[in-house]
Amino acid sequence: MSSVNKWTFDLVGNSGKNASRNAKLDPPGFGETRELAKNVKSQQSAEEAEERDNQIANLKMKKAWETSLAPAKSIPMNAIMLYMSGNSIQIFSVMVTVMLLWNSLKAIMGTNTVYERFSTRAPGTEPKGLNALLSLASDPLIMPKIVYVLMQGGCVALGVWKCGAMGLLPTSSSDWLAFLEPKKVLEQSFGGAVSFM
Amino acid sequence: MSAGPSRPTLGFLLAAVLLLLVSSASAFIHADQAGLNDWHKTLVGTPRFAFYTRPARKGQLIVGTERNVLASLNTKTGDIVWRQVLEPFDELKALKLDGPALTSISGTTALHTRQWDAPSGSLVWDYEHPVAMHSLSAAADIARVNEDVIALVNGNTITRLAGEDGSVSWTVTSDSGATYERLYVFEDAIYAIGAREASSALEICVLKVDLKDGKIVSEYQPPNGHVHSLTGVYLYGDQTTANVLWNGVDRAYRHALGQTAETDELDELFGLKDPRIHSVLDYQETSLIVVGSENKYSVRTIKSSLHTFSGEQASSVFSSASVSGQVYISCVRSGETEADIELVSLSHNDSPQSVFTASLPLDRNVSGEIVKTALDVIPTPGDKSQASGGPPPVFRVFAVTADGSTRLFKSGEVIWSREESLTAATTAEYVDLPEKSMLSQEHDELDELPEETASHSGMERYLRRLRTHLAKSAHYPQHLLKTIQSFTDSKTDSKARSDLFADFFGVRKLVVFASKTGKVVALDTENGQTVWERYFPKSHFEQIETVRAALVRFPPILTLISRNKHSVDVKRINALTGSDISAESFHDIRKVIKLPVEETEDRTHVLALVGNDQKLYFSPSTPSALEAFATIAPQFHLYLTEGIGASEIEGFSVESSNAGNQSFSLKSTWKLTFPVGETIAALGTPSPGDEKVASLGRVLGNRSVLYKYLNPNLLALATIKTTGGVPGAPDFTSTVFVYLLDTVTGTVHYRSEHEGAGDVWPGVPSVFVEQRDNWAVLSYWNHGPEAVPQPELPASTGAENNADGGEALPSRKKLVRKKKRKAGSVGGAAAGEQSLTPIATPDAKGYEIVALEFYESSKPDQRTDSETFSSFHSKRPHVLSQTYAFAKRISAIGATVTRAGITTREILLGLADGHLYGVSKRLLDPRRPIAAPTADEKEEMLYPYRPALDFNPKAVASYDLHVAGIQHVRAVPTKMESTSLVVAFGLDVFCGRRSPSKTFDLLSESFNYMALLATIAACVMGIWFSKRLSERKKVKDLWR
Repeated sequence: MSSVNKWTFDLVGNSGKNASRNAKLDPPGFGETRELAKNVKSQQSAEEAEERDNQIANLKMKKAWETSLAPAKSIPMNAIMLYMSGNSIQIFSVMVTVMLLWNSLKAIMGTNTVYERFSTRAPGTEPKGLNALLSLASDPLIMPKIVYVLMQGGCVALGVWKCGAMGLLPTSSSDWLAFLEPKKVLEQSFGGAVSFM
Repeated sequence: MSAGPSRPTLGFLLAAVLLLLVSSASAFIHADQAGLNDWHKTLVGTPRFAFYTRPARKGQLIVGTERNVLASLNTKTGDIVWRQVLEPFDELKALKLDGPALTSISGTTALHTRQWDAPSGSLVWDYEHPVAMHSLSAAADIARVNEDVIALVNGNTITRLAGEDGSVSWTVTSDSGATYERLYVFEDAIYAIGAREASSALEICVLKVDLKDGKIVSEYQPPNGHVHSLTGVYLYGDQTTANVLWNGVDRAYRHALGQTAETDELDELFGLKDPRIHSVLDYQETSLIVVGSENKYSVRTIKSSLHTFSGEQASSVFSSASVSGQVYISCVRSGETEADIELVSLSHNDSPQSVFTASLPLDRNVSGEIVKTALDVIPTPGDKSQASGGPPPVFRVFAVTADGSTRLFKSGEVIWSREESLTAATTAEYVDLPEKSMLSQEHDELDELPEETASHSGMERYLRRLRTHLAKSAHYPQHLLKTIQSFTDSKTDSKARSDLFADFFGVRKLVVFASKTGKVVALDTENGQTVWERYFPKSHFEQIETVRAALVRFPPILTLISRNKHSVDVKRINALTGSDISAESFHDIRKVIKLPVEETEDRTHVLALVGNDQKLYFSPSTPSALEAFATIAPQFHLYLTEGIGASEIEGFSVESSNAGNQSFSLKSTWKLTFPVGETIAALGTPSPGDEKVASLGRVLGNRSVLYKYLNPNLLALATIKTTGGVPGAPDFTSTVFVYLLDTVTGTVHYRSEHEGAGDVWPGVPSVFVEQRDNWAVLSYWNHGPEAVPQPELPASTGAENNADGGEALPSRKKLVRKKKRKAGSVGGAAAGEQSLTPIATPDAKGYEIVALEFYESSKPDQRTDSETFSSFHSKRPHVLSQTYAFAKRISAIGATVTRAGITTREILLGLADGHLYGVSKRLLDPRRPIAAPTADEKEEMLYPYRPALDFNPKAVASYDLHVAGIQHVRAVPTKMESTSLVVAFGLDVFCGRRSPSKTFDLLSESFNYMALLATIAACVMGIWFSKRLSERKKVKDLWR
């Protein structure tokens, strides 16, 4: 079969495999093409395959870096939104801030899920337990992941700054006033007027 | 609540609460809430004068009382028909009722004769006697001639006033030096009876004045006229003679008025052995003498004896009344549990006879004996023959008892009684009622000591706990039922409860009043009803201390402290029933102090008594009390002052000596003598240790903190210095000084002077100090720039001042008063600086209130970092102050107290015009910005400063009630943080609740519990129904 020219169409022949099929209904060359395609694949050389894999890996890394930097792009937009919502404690400003913080934290938590599709490992072969930790260093995605977390951290910082601006952070002494213990008085004094009014 | 930006976690909550606060600074009530949570007792005081009015059917009883009140009481109900409350300094001296005209003489600094219309109580005319200021203490008397009023005032001046309009017919003054106190009109002359100082006693003087032209006819001393006091002098008259009778130094005499040289001894005249005149009873035409001889009383005229009362008669009180020609005399004798009354009829033709005897219910332990009576006999038409066996006449006896309360007996029954002894109350104390669960078995367990608990086995303890819970669960259905009932009927009548247990909100307490007459009354704060009352003879209570709160199984104990001339009696009573527990008596005691330690036997607080011998005594005087004190002796400090009017204050510490018995004596540590002329005008009371302060600092707009200077030993006091007579006099000056004093070390932390400030009039106290937490409030009357003391100007400015000459005063008016004074102005350098910058007073007279607040530092976020506070190492506080003008006269000052101290305080002012008025502390805040408020100040929600504190009718705690004569305001926390219970007393008693920040922890009265329950029920139903539906749908889907 391998000797068969790939541009050859056997318009009449009946290979016997598809005898049961009503070949009349197939478009010309249909049955043959499918079989031919299989042959083409197997013909590719190992070098080619390797090159392709590299290409895909590079592509994936590129995509991974893009994903890592995506949150940074949203920071200015978020900053504007926070600025617009004002520093008073209202449902809108609080909602915006909480959403920002929440989304960022959620994103950080879901980092591995986000980068799963960029992984070059075959699915189901992820190392488990201690091996996962050891393989971190060799994971090519480690840098994008760190950058991604940093970028999301930037968003969190923005939210925290906003909380601070709204006065929701315990940064001033008045915030710790309630936890102050009254001073213990060492002397006790009693007395008053001897005669009454 | 500290207004301002919030803590992170509480941001929302606080913002919401603040919104509530801002919406209304004052809590007010709706018209239909009036009287629901408050009560008011209108009182008149203990009567000194009492008259029945005619006609008897619409009977009124006119009284003039020790509290300077003229009032008319309904004889059927005891209710007040009308009431005229005279000022405390307008002392009622004489009162006379003649038909519809009621005449009174009153005053201490200015004497007034007033005529009132008895049925309506309205003033007809008022005449001010133009007499000198200084001899006004003498008694006064009134006589009536035709329609005219003869008034004896000042001890030497007799004035005849026209009854119609009070115009003066004539006035005459005797300058013989005698003091006259009684008037008697006989024939064409007026006799004034008085006395003048003789060698060892008083000598009776008689002044005869012509009735028509007011000329002195004669002035003489009858022979043998020596008496101890003028109370033993009586006037007697009948159609033909006028006599003065007196209990002389050794025997009794009679003198016929107008006959200078004649005096008869009564033993000869009456034929009795050692007669002493008890009283002389008056009625229209003639008088009757009640004379006592050999322990028997008899009634007689000068000529003949009429009736002799039988039996031993130690404390009899007589009164008389006449009706349709017949004279009745009542004789009341007080026994232990009842009083016997005997009514004697004296008629012209029949022999006198006893027509009625009865026993009146009267417990000596509750009200004391009867000291004064007024008899009224109601005429029975067409029946003039009571003497001949007819029914006894209907009669009423108005009785005043030794405790000061009054009651009316009608034919032997008490018709009504009035607790007028409350008007003599000197102090009041709240008693928390015991928790119901506290008395349960559960607390038998909780009450035992750990060793005791350990002695039981675990199983035993478990069974015991189980039993307790079972016993409790038996009450549960009932409790549930009650709870549901209270839901459906929001206005449950909790007022009818008689069991003495605390309610859920802690608003039901007892308030115990102790009076200087020896009466102790416990009232229920929910409804004002008397829970118990006691009378202690010969006691003058001036202090009550709760020595044991309602504790587990033990009843609360009150200690009543009564001061007699030389001794101090300490009586312990059960606060829930008033029954005696124990009594101790101490001699030569200066001061009684409740200590914060308990003795171990009865778990009562120990009282320390400071003796004149500089030693400490303890009550109870047990070794365990001594031991308890020994634990706090090293940190115990004491300060004493003679009180208002004193010019010194002294501090002591305690030294213990172990020679033989352990004893403690005082060692003087400091003594502060105020500058010459300054006397104490008002003393604050350092905050008691059990009062909670929610926040240790004040949060500013930029979220920094000003730390409060919380020194429980800090005493705020005000002194006053006046010169030159009375206000209005040309050289009158007055200044009030405020001191903040550490009572441990005697350090003066702050002193400021308010020039021109003082009492509005001598004898009308206007300087008050209230002190709590880290603030004090001072009120005074501002006399204006005229009363500012002339500053001793240095030579340079002195010349300028001389150039002004006579215009010195107006020029000073222009100066603006410097309201704030920095701390430490006592120092010499500061004083020199001050005299260079003249301080002026606003050209306005009026009441002013100064708010002072003390902080640890003038800069925010600065705090002395220390776990402990010692007065010896304390830095000087930073004091802020601001002054506000207030339009009403203040007669008492107090402040609300809440459970945790979170709620904004409210300063409670008793106003002289009969209101209890609440001013939010946010208005009396020295941080109120004077310039336009900055963003930070806005954030802090400070009100901009306004010189005047407006009178806001919504802030009147007593709404439209007229609460007359408030002298004391006491507040106590309830279990609700928002609410403070307040009692104002003096003359009237008013008890109510105050919620300065609104009742944020209480659902409104109109809250619809039914709607809530219905909603919940509907929701539950809906959930159940939709669950069914969804289950059915699921099953259907599965079958598909």
